[in-house]
Amino acid sequence: MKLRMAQEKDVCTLNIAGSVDVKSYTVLRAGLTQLLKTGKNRIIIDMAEVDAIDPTAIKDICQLDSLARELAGQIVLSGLSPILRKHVSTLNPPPTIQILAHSDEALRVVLSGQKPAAEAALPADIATELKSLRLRVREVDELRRRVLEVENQTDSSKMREENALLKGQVEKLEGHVMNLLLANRDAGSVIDWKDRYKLLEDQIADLVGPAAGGSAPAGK
Amino acid sequence: MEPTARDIMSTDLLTVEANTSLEDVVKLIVSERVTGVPVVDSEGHMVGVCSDYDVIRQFSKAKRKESDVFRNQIHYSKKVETVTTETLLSEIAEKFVTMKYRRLPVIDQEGRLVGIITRRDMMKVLFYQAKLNQ
Repeated sequence: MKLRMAQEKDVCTLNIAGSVDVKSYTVLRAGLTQLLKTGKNRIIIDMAEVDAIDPTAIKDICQLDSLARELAGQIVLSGLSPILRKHVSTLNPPPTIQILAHSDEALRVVLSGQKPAAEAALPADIATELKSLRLRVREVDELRRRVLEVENQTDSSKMREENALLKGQVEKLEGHVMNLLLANRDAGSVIDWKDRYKLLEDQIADLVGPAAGGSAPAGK
Repeated sequence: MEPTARDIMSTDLLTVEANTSLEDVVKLIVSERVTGVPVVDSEGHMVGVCSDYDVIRQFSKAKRKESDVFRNQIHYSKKVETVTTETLLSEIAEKFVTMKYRRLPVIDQEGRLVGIITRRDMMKVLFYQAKLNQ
């Protein structure tokens, strides 16, 4: 992609040549945002020499156009080839984005601050084809939405399974810990009681011992 | 890299010369919806600014408030703050805030008027910078 910029009064024209893919669009986007950041919000993107453009680029340009319009600016597309124009139309760009045949016309419109002019009427066969394509696009969008829903459901059932598994493991671990605690407590208690028992036995022996000796038969 | 006056200035300039009549300046200011116009000499050097305030003051000071007043040459402010094309955006913003200017003419190294930055231009720059840096 090649990019050139020209300025007339406060209208900037970006002339693009070649294919605009995701990678090259980053360059174009950087140029567009730089223009907006310096207050230049009346921009023409001349695509007379563009072969193809990535759909995400068109969507993003439409968003930047909305931003430009917030302060009475606008981004206009011009010089699109019939094929590219058809391609762009199938992407359902918002009606606010203005698409004009030539950059001269675009410059005239932007300089005069005219309201978006109605697009030239398309031939009947192309219009019908466009209509059916738009319907297909909507169907695809609907399918995508449903796929996402199903994916989300799958995700939640997976999470439930994992959760149950984790709960089981936690219960097992808790059992082990309890057993260990009980075992330790018993062992401790036994040692403790054994010591105390021995101590008591010794005490009893001390107390009882001499008395028992004294009670032994004298003649023995 | 921080933008400079060259990046943000408007080059679509409305100017008048010192010998312009008050009537012509009034018509220009009202029809173009601006608050003042730079005054330049025949070579494009900046010599002052004629604002709506200057126009009102000139008319108010006139002894006879008649249409003849409008045939007089304009009275304009000769002491005008300017910036160069390389002045940074932050410095320009500072000038607008501290000095309360409505507009800042931009001059080149030879003192020729090459652009103008208004409060409106500054608002656009600040708005888009904030929105696009989100």
